[in-house]
Amino acid sequence: MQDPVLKVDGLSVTFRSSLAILDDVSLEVRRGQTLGIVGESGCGKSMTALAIMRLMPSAALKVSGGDIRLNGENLLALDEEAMRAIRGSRAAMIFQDPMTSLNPLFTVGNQVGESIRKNRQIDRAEARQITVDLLKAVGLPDPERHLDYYPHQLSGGKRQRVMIAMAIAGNPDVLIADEPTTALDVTVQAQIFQVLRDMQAASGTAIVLITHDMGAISEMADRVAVMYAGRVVEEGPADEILAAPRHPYTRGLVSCIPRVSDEAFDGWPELPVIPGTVPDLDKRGAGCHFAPRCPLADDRCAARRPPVLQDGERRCACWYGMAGGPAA
Amino acid sequence: MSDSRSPEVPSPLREAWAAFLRNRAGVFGLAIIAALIFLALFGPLIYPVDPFEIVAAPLTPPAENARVPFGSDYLGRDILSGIVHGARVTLFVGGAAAAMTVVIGVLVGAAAGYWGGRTDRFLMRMTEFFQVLPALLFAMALVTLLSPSIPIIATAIGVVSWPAMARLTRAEFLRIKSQNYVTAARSSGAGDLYLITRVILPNAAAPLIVSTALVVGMAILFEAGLSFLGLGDANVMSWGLIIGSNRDYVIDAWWTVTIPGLAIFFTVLGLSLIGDGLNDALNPNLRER
Repeated sequence: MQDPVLKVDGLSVTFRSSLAILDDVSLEVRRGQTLGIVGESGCGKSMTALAIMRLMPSAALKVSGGDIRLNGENLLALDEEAMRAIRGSRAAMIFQDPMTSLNPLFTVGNQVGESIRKNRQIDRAEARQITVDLLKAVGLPDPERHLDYYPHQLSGGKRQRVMIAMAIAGNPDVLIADEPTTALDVTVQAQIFQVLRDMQAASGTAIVLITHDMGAISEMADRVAVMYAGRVVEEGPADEILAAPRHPYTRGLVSCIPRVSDEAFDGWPELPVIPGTVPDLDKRGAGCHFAPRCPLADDRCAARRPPVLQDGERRCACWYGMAGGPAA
Repeated sequence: MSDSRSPEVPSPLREAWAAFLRNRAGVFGLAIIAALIFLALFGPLIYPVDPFEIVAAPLTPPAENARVPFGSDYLGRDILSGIVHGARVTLFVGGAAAAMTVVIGVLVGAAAGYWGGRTDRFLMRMTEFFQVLPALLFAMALVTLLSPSIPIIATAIGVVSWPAMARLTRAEFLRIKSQNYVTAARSSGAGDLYLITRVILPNAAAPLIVSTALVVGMAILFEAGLSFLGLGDANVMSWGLIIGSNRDYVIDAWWTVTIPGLAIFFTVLGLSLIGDGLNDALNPNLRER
């Protein structure tokens, strides 16, 4: 098997050197593949993405351990100048809210053109032509006309297409998509996913898709990593995990997927929820962070950190997880 | 967004200009300043009387002697000529002082807001140092120590007025720095210089432009104040100099100070109205629909 394009190994990030935001996060994604990262808000999904891009929003956040390798090169060892050369060319990112992620004062053509010219020594006319091609590739109708539009004149779906065009302008090895469709409606979400899949098929770019939507995972991801409170609790092939989740948290997430079936219409069974919320940073104990909300938890879960058990392609961090557990 | 929309889409600047033109007070202010600029550029050609030449009896009231329609000062110099020739100096001092204020203020404020941390603390302590200096006394000291020439006066005004601009710029940078489009630009490999000049500064421009218009007005008042105190350049005619040199005759010859005073008043009023109009035009939240 080929080496992963992006390999995150034991990444830890702390806030003010004491509170663990990310705790021993390991992920990898191969060329042409999509890794889904799921979890509730506050689980560290976006922080993982920003840490990979070395775009931590505050100086109080520091990487305290692990490494991040892009095609074998350790990104954490690079100086800011070298990292800047990687952003946008070898690793690119698209964001959750396309409404606010484009500079409101410049036209679409100007912004996409600048992101092309950042990586290549070409003149404006050439950049304009490449921009048109890119906008066509992301399915924006009549791209020439859209060049002179300002972001506020575009719908959310169109803006996200523009964001994708900017992100793939440098033909990156890995594209991190941080909840790219959360702010969009469902039909537009399907279109955006199609754009990402087409782009991936054409270029072989590895995608890291961050989402809280298990439906998006089943649609897009080859592998999935489930995060909870800064840790990866379960990781493996997406279809296996969706079909047979092992960690109780994953099971909770999977059972929360609404399904339209015959029985769903008679009697309207209640959609299950996972009780409670993600614990605050300063209220995370020594054991399994999910223990306070877990139906299986006992004293051992609260006291000691569960081991990460490897089983072929899958791994799971739960005292009960790998064997299927008592309530499996 | 419908696809049938016409392809001619207004740029943000063009849209702001259209909004400005709908603001009557702003257009009035612009008319005053346009007239002043015209006066400064061509006035001395149209009305070539030397403002330092004695052309009539001292303290001739307005409309008494056709040679001095606005009256004469305590030496018998033509006040109208002083207004016409002083416009150039007034505008130059206002413009140069404002330019200096903007250059220093934006550089310091942008660096402090963008980099934050130690840079921010150092630059802001420096800004506060200049801000707590009594502006008029400091400018007087500077002008007295160096020389009371127009460039020195403009420099002195710039030195005492940049802190407010720096603080405004810093605040805007702090606000915009955390916007999503800045992070997005950074994630596509934008460097510090690009982010500062192409991403953050254009989005911070509106309040800076507005306050620049006000700084010009303030600088003109400041120059008049220095001249009134006798610290102006006595060899160059300015509105402040007319007021300053006639201050002992205010009681007997109201016109010697009222006429240049009105000129200053309308100039500062015009600049304030422009500032107000720009504020409305550049801030879509205040724009009337």
